[in-house]
Amino acid sequence: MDINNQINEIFESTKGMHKAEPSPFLFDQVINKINRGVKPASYSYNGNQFLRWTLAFSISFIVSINIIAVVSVNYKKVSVAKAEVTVKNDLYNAITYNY
Amino acid sequence: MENLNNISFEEIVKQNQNLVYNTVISFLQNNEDAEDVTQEVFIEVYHSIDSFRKQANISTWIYRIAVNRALDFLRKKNAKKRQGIFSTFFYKKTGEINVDSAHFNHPGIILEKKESANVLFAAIDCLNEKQKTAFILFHIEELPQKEIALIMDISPKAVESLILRAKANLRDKLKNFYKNRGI
Repeated sequence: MDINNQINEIFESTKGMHKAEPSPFLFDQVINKINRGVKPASYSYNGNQFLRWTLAFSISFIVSINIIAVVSVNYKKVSVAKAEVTVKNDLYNAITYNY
Repeated sequence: MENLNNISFEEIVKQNQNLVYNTVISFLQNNEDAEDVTQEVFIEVYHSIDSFRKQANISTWIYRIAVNRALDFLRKKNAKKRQGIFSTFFYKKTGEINVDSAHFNHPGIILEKKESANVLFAAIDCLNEKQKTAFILFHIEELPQKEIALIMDISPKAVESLILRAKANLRDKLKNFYKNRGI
C-alpha cells in the first residue's frame, strides 16, 4: 500500500469511534475522596524548563564575568606597557636632546 | 449557558464524566491513569465551582480543567522517568514514534481499526503540548475550533495554525516510522 494512503488510513482510524465510559462508580469515588478531605493537587510548574534556564543563566553569567576579568587585566597590562614605553621614549628623547 | 444554581454536583458529574474521561484518556493513553485524573478533575470542579464565570459554558470550563490536569499528569510522569539533575538537563526527546508505546487500546475504537489507531496515538504522544491539545480536541473530540480557542485561551486563528502544524508533524513522523520499518 502507498505510504500516503497508509497515513490517511491512520488519520481516519478514530473516525466513528465510540465514546469510552468511565467507571459507573465515578461519582461515588469522587464524593468519597471529597468527604475524606482530598483537595485538588496543586499544578506543578515546568521544573525542567526552570532548571535548564537557571543553569544556562548561571553558566553564561560566570563566563561573562571571566571574559570581563581577562579583558580588563589584559587592558591594564597593555596600558601599563604602553605607559612604560612612552616614559622610556620620553627619557630617551630627553637624553638625546640634551646630548 | 446553564444555570448552575439548579444543577447539583451529581448532575454536573453525570453530564460531563464522559467528555472528561474521553479527553483525558486520549492524553494519557492509559485507562487506570485516566480514571484517577477524571476523579481529580471533578474534585477540582467541586472546590472551584465558585470561581467559575457563569458567562462561559460549564463544559468548556470543565474541558479546560481536564486538559490542564492531563498535561500536568504527563509532566509529572515524564519528570519521574528522568531522575537526576544531569539526566534532566541533557535529556532530549527523540521525537520518533515509539512502537513499544503503541500498546494502548482505546476502548472506543472498533477492532478493525485498532492497529492504525494505536500508531496514531503513539504519534500523537510525540507532539508538543499545544499541538497535542489542539489535535486531540479537534480530531478526536471533534470540537469546533471556536470552543478549542476558548479552552486553550488562544485565538481561533492560533488554533487553526496549531492543528495544521500538528497534522504536518504527524505526517512527517508517520512517514519516518514507515520508512524505518521498510514500508
